[in-house]
Amino acid sequence: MKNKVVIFILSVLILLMVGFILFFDNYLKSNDKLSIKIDNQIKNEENNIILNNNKLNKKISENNIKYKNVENMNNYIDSLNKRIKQYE
Amino acid sequence: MNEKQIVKMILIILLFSLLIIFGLIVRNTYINKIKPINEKKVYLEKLKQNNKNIINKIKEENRKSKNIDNILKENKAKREQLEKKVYEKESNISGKVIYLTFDDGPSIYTNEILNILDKYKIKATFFVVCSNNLEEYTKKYIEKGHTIGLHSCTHKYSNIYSSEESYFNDLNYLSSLVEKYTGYKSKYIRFPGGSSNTVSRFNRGIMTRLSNKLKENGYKYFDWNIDSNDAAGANSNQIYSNVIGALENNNRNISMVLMHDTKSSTKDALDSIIKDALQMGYTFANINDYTPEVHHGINN
Repeated sequence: MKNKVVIFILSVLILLMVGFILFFDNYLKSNDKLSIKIDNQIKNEENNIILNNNKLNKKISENNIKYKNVENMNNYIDSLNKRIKQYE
Repeated sequence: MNEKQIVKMILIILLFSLLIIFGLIVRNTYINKIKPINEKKVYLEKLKQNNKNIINKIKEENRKSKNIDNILKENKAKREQLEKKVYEKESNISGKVIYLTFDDGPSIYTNEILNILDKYKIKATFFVVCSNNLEEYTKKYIEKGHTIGLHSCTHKYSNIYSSEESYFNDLNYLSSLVEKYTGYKSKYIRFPGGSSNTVSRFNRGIMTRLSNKLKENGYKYFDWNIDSNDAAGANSNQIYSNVIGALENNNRNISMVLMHDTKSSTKDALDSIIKDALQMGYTFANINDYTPEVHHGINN
């Protein structure tokens, strides 16, 4: 009777362990898929950062040229004002 | 202890060993596989935040760009208003007027020419090309109150007169450079070779078409009625005689003198020309919106 109980308990434990191993294996496989997915997302984000940084740098350069244009035009307007004053 | 108890002990020890081994496997799996994924997730979130910040900066720069465009638009309107006022005042001259015009520069002689003009406090017109020192000198012309005219960028007849498109591509490029350097948009043109040139005859009728198109686009072109002949190789004495001789025999109110600031002989003759012309009672002026256009007859 005692032996039957021991065998029963051992069988349950073995079944539980097998079940856990199967569950764990499945978990690891889905983890691997998640890891690949995250790697791809990281790659995309890094590429987007490079593209957006390029866009930002280009816009900053364009704006610097425009600031220079404004400065030059202000200087020209100043020179026109000086010329008008000379005649007054 | 009997056999049964020993077997039981062994089984229990085996079970515990299995549990411990199992625990170690789970722990290693966490360290090697699960923890890195969590770290990757954190890194991914940082990247997304970084990207968001960059996008916000792009939006900010776009907003700044719109503001600058508005300022440029307002300044252009202000510029035109002031130019009109200046031109009205500078055109208030009577008697015989000389317009000194210098083509093909700027060059290494331009600085000295500017100094001579400063000495007599007179203004001139510079029909520029795409020289190396264009930025430096166009800024000086504006600062000193001279007029910048557009001659052409390349001065290559075979290129600029090959079609209307080629001519305007060349002209627009030069115009954009001048405006970029100075804020000033020139409307005054001198054709390379003048409007009467025959070098453009490889393209029949091009000068007629160009002179009409320039007018349609709001430009004014100026030829000359006194030629110093410096481009033909005249020395400084000859240049002086050509100009002063023409002025002495002049019935015209407007004398538009062709010179080139790329010639040292012109630079050498200039002081005497200005001095004697002033003594003859002439006034000097630079081209503006009120200056009558001096045109040759078109031969092509």
